[in-house]
Amino acid sequence: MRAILVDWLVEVHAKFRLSPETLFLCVNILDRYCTIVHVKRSRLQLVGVTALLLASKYEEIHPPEVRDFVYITDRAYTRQDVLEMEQDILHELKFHLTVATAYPFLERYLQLVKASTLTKHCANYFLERTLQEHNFLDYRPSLTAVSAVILAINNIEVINYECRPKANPPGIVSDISYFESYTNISDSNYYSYMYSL
Amino acid sequence: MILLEFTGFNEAEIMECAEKIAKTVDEETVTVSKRLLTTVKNKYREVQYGCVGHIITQAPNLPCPSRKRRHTK
Repeated sequence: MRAILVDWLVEVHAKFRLSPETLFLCVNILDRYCTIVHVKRSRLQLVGVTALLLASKYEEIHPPEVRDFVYITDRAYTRQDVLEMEQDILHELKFHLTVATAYPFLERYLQLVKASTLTKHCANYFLERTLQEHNFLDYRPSLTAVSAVILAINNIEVINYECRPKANPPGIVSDISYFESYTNISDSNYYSYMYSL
Repeated sequence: MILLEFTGFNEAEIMECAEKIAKTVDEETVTVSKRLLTTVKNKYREVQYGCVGHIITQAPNLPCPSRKRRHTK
């Protein structure tokens, strides 16, 4: 259930275009609350969405409003439910929201090794994948972060991708995926259009 | 080496955690009801994240453990 909830939270987080720190803090709040309070399955989404609300208020300059979070749950919970859960989480956690998550460590380590943009994305990807798995709660956030960085800087596929020859004439993009994301037209269709042209 | 010095962790600790991360990235998270949880992977397939979800197709390779230096008299 935790993995499903975190998966959904990653989706909501991306939809609201929130900062990465918010996601890591949200999962931290969720885990700490669930260790203290026994949460029914029917209320788990409410805890998740309220943890995201709290994390957004803590980290974001312009956090989404309560009604946005109610809307994202398909109105499964009311505004009052979210506000009451917010109070309960804060009470149980004793307003202790300043915690060391893995993300600030990751940023620091990436800066230290002077990682390229692609390596940074790769390390972020590895670290975000660990959020879904509860067995990474056994490790310190700093250890998970440094492991993700080490895996990213040693990743053969990333190294090969960065070292590939860039022989395209100016203005010509060889990577069809760039166009794919803009137009929603698949690879094969592109080639058939190109041939017909 | 710089990360080992900076973090204070030993190589074995990092390698153990890195191995678990590599395994996690390689395998898809599947629920009891056989549902695949691929949101993170799909997110990182987007151009704004450098399409790393596309680039990384196999399990991330673990770095070779550094050889212990022999002390010569």
